[in-house]
Amino acid sequence: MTAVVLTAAALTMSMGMTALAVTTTIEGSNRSTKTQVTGYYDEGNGGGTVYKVDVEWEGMTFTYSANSSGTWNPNTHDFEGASESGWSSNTNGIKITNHSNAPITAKLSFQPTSGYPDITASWGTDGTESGEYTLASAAEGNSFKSPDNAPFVETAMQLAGDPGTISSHYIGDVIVTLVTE
Amino acid sequence: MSGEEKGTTSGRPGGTGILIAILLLITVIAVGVTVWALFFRKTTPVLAPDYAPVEAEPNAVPIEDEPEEDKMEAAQGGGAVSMTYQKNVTISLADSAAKLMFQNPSKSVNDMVLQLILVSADGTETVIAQSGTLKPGNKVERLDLIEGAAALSEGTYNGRFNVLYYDPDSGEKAIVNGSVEGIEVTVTQ
Repeated sequence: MTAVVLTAAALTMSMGMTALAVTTTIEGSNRSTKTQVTGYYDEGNGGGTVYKVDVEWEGMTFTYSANSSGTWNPNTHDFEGASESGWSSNTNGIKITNHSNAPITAKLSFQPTSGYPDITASWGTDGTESGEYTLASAAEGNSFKSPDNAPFVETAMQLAGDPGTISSHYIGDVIVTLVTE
Repeated sequence: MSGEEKGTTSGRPGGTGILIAILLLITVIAVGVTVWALFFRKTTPVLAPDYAPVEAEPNAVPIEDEPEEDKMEAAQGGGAVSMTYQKNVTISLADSAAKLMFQNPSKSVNDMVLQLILVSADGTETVIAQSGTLKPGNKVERLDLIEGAAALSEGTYNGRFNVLYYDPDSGEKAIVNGSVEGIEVTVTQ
């Protein structure tokens, strides 16, 4: 019983130990042993896919305007310039250009800061784009041997959601995710 | 059985019992530590710096034979970057370093900081290497692993690059940042 307990304890304590590296040494003329041979393929400097992507963005400054019933015009007895609440910006452009010898997919997303969890983003001048764009390889078509004709996408970010009282000008980050094929 | 025989057969029952109790206690502690290390230990995440690190990446070197390209233009308050990279990364456990190819071409306006992240099957992300500031015109082909970030073994892992852009003058992190998915990480001894 004691031997069983001691044996179990020894085995269990060994569970917490770091695995030891095992070195196999080949020595002597009368001995032989086996060692694992590992090989790796190095495709060398040529022929591989090289990704080169340009990302350009404007200032991303947005203004939130609260609901406005407009200004009373005493001549017409009507309110003029009424507007609904919402965000506006004229510095919300993003451009992504693919110079890679492979197609890429660019996915745009917006991460609001913890102070503005209700702010969301959409893409395109009218906010109807998916925010996901596939750019062809620069090694094909008009772009081949012509860097000025590299495939690109140009879009804009729109914001939605009531920020409440803006206490900080930093409301979130834009993430440009490039998915390699 | 007589009392003398009983005394002779059992030896020192008190001492043996204490020894067994101590060994059982050590066993329980060892099991607890192992379970915690395997299932409950949380890796402290490496936070993206709000300002570019003061130190340039020590492994960064100038890009050789760069083609002549016009400097990109950044709109007021905006930014412009170009990134050149390959999606294969090799980690040497012996060197505790990652071998990769990532360039911030001279035509970029912004400085960069590169994070190498491993993505596990359940989606957990672990930053295993982070560069210092990589200025335009420089490349990095080796990044030292963050000590204790992750326990790696030989094999392949899914990874991604997190690329943070910084204003070259103020050092402030840009509103737009990059992420490159589909990075293939091979771990070797």
